Amino acid sequence: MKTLPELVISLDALTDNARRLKERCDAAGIEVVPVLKSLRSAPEVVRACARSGLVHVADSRVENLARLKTDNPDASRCMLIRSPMIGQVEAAVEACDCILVSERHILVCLSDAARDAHRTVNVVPMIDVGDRREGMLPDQLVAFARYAMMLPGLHVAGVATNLGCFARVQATPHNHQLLVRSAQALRDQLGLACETVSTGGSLTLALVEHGAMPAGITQVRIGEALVLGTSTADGRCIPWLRQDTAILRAEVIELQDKQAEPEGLVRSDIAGPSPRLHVSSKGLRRRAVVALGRIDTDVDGLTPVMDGAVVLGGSSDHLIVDITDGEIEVATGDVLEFRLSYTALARAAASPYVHCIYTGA
Amino acid sequence: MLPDQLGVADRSVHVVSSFPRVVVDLDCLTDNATKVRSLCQEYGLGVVAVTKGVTSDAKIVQAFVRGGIHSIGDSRVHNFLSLRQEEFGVLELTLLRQPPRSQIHLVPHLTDRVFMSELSAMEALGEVALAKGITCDVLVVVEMGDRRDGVPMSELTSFVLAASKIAGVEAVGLAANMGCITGLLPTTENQELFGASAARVRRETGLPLKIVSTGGSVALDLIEHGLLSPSVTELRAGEALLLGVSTTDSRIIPWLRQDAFVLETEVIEVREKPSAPDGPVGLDAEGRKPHVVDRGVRRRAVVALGYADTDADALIPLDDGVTIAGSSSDHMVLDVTETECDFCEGDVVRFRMKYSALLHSMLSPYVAREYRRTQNAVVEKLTREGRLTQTRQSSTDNDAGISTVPTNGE
Repeated sequence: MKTLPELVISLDALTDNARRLKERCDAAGIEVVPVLKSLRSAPEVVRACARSGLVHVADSRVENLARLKTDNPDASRCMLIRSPMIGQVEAAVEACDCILVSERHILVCLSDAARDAHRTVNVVPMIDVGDRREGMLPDQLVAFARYAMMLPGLHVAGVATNLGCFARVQATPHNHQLLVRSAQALRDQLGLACETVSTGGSLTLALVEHGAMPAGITQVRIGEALVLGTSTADGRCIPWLRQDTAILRAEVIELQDKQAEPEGLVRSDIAGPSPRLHVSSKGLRRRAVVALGRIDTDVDGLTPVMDGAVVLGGSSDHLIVDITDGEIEVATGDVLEFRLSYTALARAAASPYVHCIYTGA
Repeated sequence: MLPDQLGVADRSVHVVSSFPRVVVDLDCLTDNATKVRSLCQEYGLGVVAVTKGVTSDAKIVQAFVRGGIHSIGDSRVHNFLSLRQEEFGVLELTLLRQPPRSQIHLVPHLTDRVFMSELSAMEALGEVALAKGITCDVLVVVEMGDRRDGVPMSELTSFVLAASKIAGVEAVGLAANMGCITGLLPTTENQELFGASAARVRRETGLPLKIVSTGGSVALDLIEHGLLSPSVTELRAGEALLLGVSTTDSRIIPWLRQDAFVLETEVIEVREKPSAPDGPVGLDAEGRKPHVVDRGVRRRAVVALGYADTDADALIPLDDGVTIAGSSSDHMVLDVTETECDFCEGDVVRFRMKYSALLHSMLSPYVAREYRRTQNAVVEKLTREGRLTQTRQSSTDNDAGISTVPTNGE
């Protein structure tokens, strides 16, 4: 039985993207780590990446990686890209091969958990090269790594950073040289091999493409470019990747011919980007009310697949689409399809009301 | 067997940490329900508790039931599944959105009343109901200028007449909604208009149309001032019951409680850092420059919370002096420079939520729920202290609160 809304993920397109990313980055001597948190590291998606030769899976949520490891212990090597919380360290040690860290208390907790589990965990300190989210400043790195080296059960595997996510600081040769120099400091001062020098954010691909990634970067963590073929942080639709990876389908529950402008007293200061209805045209318009809303996805990140159709806005359960200039006649009960932004994709994949369907492969 | 038929999306999560979590004080919710219900009763209004914002969580519904509200509204039929269990007694369940065709077969099973605005959908529903040998009660949604869904007022009579001819469904009333998409406010005028058109449709169709239902917590304001049209018979309220506020008219409702929900999460990093970014800055999803103010070196706490957990823009830190510097999907950065308490990694931070944050944290597979009952806590404390088991104290202190000390220790 079919229940809408449904999120249709094309595994063929994902496999293609994973393969193309791998080819590009292989040529530059850089490993691609797929960041699959937006699809909750679903086993289907993980397998698609593995088929293309990607050996790691990265997620920010311990629960996703733990589930992956429980369901299939031989799955890809798991990388946790957000520091675990204290209550999660046992599960993190169990599930992850590599953990990004930035605080000493978590090092100690991880060390205890690793010792209890008779394991060695790879930890990679996060430095902040300018985006001002998590991570220590580069001058604090050596002291931090030295501290980690004293703790049993931990192996300091390298250094990592993240860009474009918080202050939207762009990837440049300059901030990547800072990362490379930090890795060199670990090698020189502490004698570490520093095999992982990891950067992240789909925006770093631009450097790889232009051959501008400094030598010494060994790894890029890529999410959005893999699952959608785009990179929001530098406003790019990546031409050599596929964008037909995901479609959200939902049902038209009402059709109406209504005036475009609302009628009556309107408040413009309610929560969120409001008013929620874009008044883009005047006069009588044909509008489809779709059974889809903010509860299901980020309605601001939806684009109708049908030419001429325009999303006017949405509330928690309804989406209003202007279909006056649409190329196809629409009836109630019909299904409308939408392309998704990264946020819309992540939200839809996590919504209990949206069914995830995988096609191909 | 029903869950399989439904194919409800898998909500199961391997919970390995209790953070982030929503802490719900159920007795606050019971309080709010009692107060809203008694106000509405004064004016002869029924109350529907709209619980779509909390996925019609069973414990929360029970808290409302304890407050005397037995009518529950949700926009998603799947959420009613767990409410059709015996322990809830007789609940009246209203589906607040016209069901998609793909779900219509479930509706007669699970709901008592359905919002409808399309004749073809009503025909489909009627067929399903007839096949099951029952009749479905329908409320016709009236479009009051909010430009979302509903039948325009000019077409109401002909629509209701046509609806009344459909076998298997019975139009029992009208429903209006406000403040949901364009921020249109209910006013005495448009409520009056709504009431008047209900009366007109009744006259013109000869149908009883017993229910005239208005919605949005905003309408409470009119009720308080005795300004709601007397033709209106029912209020649907969600935000007011859950959070004690009404976003559309930016009001904290002074006689309701605002402290039923708290979102808690863990600090994963604390660090003195420059607040300004270093390097060229790009545009955000809407093509705007991100708003980052250079305030020099600040003490900043990174907490394990982001857009994947909640609507990070709709949170209010409960600790004085803490401000939100920004968020991404998994991280939120707090500026804790001005705060009194000494924030430390591993600490727990607490937030008050606006409606949209509540909605999203209740939906997120990453957010745990913890329920508390303040009144129960009092009872538990008294029990633990042995003050409830002592053999008959003097009959005067039978209503003793915790502040009352037993007259003798025995």
